[in-house]
Amino acid sequence: MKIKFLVKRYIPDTGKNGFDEFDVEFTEGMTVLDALLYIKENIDQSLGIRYSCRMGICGSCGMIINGKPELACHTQVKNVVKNGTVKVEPIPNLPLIRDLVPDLSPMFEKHKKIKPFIIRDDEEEQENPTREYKQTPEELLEYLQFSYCIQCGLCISSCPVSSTDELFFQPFVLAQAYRFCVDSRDEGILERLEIVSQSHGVFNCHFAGGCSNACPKGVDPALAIQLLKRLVFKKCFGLLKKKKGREVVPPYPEGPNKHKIPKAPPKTV
Amino acid sequence: MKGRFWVLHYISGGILFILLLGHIFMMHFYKFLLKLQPGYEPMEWEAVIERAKNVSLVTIYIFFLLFALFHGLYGLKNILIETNFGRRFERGIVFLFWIIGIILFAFGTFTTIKAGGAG
Repeated sequence: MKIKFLVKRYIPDTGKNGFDEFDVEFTEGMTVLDALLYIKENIDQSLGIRYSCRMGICGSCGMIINGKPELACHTQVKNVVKNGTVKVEPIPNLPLIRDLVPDLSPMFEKHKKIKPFIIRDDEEEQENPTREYKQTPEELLEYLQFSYCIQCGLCISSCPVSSTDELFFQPFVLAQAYRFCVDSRDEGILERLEIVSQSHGVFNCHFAGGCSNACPKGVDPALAIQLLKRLVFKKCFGLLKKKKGREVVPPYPEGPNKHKIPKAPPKTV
Repeated sequence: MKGRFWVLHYISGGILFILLLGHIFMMHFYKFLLKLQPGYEPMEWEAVIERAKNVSLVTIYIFFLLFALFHGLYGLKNILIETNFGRRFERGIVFLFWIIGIILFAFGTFTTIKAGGAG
């Protein structure tokens, strides 16, 4: 069975901008990425696509498939085909480099701004770690689902604020800000809240919820943004103080070596 | 902190909701909800002037005006800023709305206080 693929083409060098049609022989288990790679290898080598892991982890192949934001490697052709046709377009709300390849750098620039890493005062421990920081399972659950974000940009494609306001911090960036704010090991909550509460920040979210619908990993950025607003409220009313990050786990007491287990060799790095 | 105006926007919205409920009950549902003196009509000249002489009510009117102006203008500013015409446009809008807000607040406050002496 042949399936018609309508692929959005954009080649700035030649000025090409429109849809191309390709007929692809359907095979059982074929994903949209498989079909696009078939087109690239056998029909038109000039087709621009970005992909890496082919298993829904790297977030490189996010695109609009039959009007819905999806990961191409994660989407079975048989599940999306309509009247024998699959329409593939690049992610909107981001600059386009070529064909199905959007420029993700604006999104990563914003991500950098919110300091997406653990901020702590104990620099010596950070530079030369002795052991891991303590964290209970309950503390982990506070941010766990938001740490599943693969930064594919699909939440941006379905965000109405991102479509009109290019300075908006974008859903996944705000969700990541919340993820680090509630991490029990982090001490940079006040710093981060100051960044996200500025103009085009967390309060510009209209709570349309499109981001949560679009996320292929089941993350709920809309929830994170509302919780982030709550943190900003608490900060404004002086209810949020700079928290002390959890301490390093104490070394385990040395017990009798009954089974004569040899000591670990010294560190090489 | 940069988010404090946003927080105030939310708070002013909540306060306006309560004040507007009070306004609707006092002006439109008074016959059903409040057992006032017979023949009382809140929209009549005498009743309006009577209220304008009441210091507590005048204070509420001024706060009502303040919250309504802030909430409306700040909301409008945020809508306009999302059109994303650049930082200069943003600064211009903020400056313009501060001026409009101050003028309208001064005019509204003057009218409210002056009405108390009109009777």
